[in-house]
Amino acid sequence: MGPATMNEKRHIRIRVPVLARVEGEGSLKLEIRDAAIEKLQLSIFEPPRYFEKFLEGRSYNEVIDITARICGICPVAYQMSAAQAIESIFEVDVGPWVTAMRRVFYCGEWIQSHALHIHLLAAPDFLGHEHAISLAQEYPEAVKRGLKLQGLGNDLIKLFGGRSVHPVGARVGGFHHAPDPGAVDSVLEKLHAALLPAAELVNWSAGLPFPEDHQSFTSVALQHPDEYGIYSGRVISSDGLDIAIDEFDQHFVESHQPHSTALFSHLHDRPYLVGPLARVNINHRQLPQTILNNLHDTGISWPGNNMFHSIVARAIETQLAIIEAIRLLEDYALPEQPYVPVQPRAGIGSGCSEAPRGILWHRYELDDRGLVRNARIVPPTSQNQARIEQDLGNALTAFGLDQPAEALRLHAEMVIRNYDPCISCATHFLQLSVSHH
Amino acid sequence: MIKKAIIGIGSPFGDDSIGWRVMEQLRKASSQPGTDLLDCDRPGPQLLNLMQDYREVILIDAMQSGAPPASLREIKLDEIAGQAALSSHAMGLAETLLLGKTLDMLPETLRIIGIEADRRSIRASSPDQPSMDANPVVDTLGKLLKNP
Repeated sequence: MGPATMNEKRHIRIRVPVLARVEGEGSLKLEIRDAAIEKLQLSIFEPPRYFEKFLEGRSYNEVIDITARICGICPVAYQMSAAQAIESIFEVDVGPWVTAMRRVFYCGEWIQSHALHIHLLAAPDFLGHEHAISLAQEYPEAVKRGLKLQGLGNDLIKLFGGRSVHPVGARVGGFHHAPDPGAVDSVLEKLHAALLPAAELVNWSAGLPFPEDHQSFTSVALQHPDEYGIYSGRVISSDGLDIAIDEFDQHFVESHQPHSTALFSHLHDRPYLVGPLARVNINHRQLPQTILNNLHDTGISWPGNNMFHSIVARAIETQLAIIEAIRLLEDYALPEQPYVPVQPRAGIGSGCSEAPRGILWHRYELDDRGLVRNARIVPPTSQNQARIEQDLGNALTAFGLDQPAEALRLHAEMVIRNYDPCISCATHFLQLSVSHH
Repeated sequence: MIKKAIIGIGSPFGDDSIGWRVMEQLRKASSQPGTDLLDCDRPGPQLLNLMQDYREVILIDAMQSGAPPASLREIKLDEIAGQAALSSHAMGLAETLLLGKTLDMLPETLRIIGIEADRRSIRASSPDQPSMDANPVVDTLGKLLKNP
């Protein structure tokens, strides 16, 4: 962490060259002059990801595996958004078994990602610890519960994917293999055993000491008529936007800011929020009754506008994902075939699903052999960049710009960690020319 | 029920691919009956979860300690746990093992074998054209494992 310099408490420069407890690399530049913020820049400096260009010329079959490598924490999300887009171009209906099992696959990723973030990345902030290890010394049972939940998420993913990091089981049209019923039974047992710990996790997270920090922002999430939006839906905002996913780029515009290699995204020229808090804000009425009853006792109401409650939103979604996975696996039966055969054709199509961190939108243009002519991938973390900067300005001002530099730095980091930014995914370029020899 | 595992840490595509390639050779040689041979792409909570099913685990990981490339060294748990960087978010092997120790989650018997990576040619290597031959490493590893 960089030093802070102070000039008569009127000009403070804080540099956090490497943010701790986030995925990937990001830094923050903050300059305060005369009790006002003069400059605030969140910079993302992972090497830019050329995935959109890598995909050009590739076959639709390869897209699923290549996009999964964009993120080691949410490969399922990338596979699902990509598969949806390609299947819409080929006009394929994957059917109820694949749709249900994809939701289970996704639940595994939500459980795994949220449990990791809650316990290892965010909780230390709220309990005065610098690292999960010292947190584990004081709260061993809570951390162990978190690790167990994370393992359960990975077990769910492995059911379909073969291995939990960069799972290989998904394909256009469905899955390569259907899980064996014995393996499903074994995971179901673990899911049932996790119901009580997951409810306890919601209570535990809701009881953490939160700063009072209320902000005004637009939430954006997928909404589905029959279920809490995870795998598919329409794009809904708390300001009344209600669009099909293929209208996404008519409303959400990406642009390049000079201080960051990641693109910024705006909805009708304004920042917006995606991710667990946005989802619970928009879809809380569709949570199972057990969760709603439990929530009532926590004293935290939804929709909410305190970003520090994101950890509670993640706990709620962890519990939801366990309940959903049980619901969908309870009557598991082997299908005739775990995938629907597809015929490549030319066209343009979009796919959109809720990665653990928020909506992940893919759009592909394929030729008549199913080769990629053009690809666009809009990850959740780049969509949140503008909101994070806006949040930081508000939160630090409310916290008190006359606070010691060290306290400002820690508060800024906590604010950023609320978003669980996955910075490795958040870099891509709009335009790049590549010459082939 | 299998109680023993050898876990190679590292991805096939990274600088630390020697761990992965050694596991591949061990599998081909079938020289470890009654022992599960597993890969773990990276250290972190998943490694701790993976070890839960076993009473005895041997971890194999690439290291950079300045020793001659391909040399092997057994590292004591306290030595590696003592190197945990608690100010960073990184959950490297040291942090993972220290977390496991703190939570009393480590297997009854844990041995950690470090294989010195060849730094000079790491960038030039790939899974198809590895910079370092895994076979002599596997031979030395076999001898080391026979001596508890």
